[in-house]
Amino acid sequence: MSSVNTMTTAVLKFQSSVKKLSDNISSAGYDWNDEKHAALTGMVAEIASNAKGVMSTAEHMASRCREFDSVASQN
Amino acid sequence: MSYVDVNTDAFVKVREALRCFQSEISGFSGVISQETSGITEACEQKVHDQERVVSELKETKRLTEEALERIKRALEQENAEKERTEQSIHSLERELSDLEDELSDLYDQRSSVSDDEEDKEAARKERASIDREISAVKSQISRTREELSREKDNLDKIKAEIRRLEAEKNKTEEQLAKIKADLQRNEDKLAKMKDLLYYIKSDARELRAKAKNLEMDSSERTSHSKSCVEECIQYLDEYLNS
Repeated sequence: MSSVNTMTTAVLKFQSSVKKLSDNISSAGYDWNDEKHAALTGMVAEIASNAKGVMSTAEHMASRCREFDSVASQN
Repeated sequence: MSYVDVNTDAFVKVREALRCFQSEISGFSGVISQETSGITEACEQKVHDQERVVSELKETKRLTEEALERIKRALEQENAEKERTEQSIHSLERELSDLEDELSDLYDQRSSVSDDEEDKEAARKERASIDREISAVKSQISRTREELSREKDNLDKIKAEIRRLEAEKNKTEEQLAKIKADLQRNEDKLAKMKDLLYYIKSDARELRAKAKNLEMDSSERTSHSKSCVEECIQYLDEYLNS
């Protein structure tokens, strides 16, 4: 299960990096507000959406791994 | 602070954020690939372990079934021996009864021998002859009784062996039922584990592909965005220097 935790932690860390980038770009938007900034915001939103898809697959796999361990530990 | 200065600060901040993001996500798909491989290998190992448990239980079942067959064959032999011994006892008892009747007849014959004066010698000879016959029959009765006693002892031993074998048979049958239930449970468990492993491997493949695409796509987009920001910064620099 440690590998499952490391795997989900890696995806969470990725999402956290996307969030940090998104926050930085948003805060820059107070001073920089044009179509280029909007494109950047859109780009980060797409990355966040893709990361969410990866997280969903990771959670799905983690759930199956928990079920596998539960079956394997039955006597 | 002018509008240009404000924008320059914003561009620099975003450029730094993009650089930082690129650095942070670097190696993401490598970690996912490594961990998913570790997960599937660990699950495969557990499936192999479970396969070994099932294999060992199958062997135990086979050996127990063989032991049960041996006990059943031994029981059949002992029961046949019991039947043969009972028939022998029955024959010996009949034989003994016949000999006792014969002895009783001989005693009757002996007591009915006439003791007249003129037949005295003949009567003595007849009594002597009957006495020899009585002696022979008594010896035969004695031998038959001994044989009957041995056969009865033998029957007791056979019956005791049958009881022991019956108890062993019952015990082995109980063990076999337990082993069969255990085997079924472990086979079901193995089937579930194999099903789940199949899906885990499929999830792992999907996750590796998605993670690789995400990292590559994010890195490319970030590089492109960084270039755009660099262009903005360069444009502003040129504007300020003009």
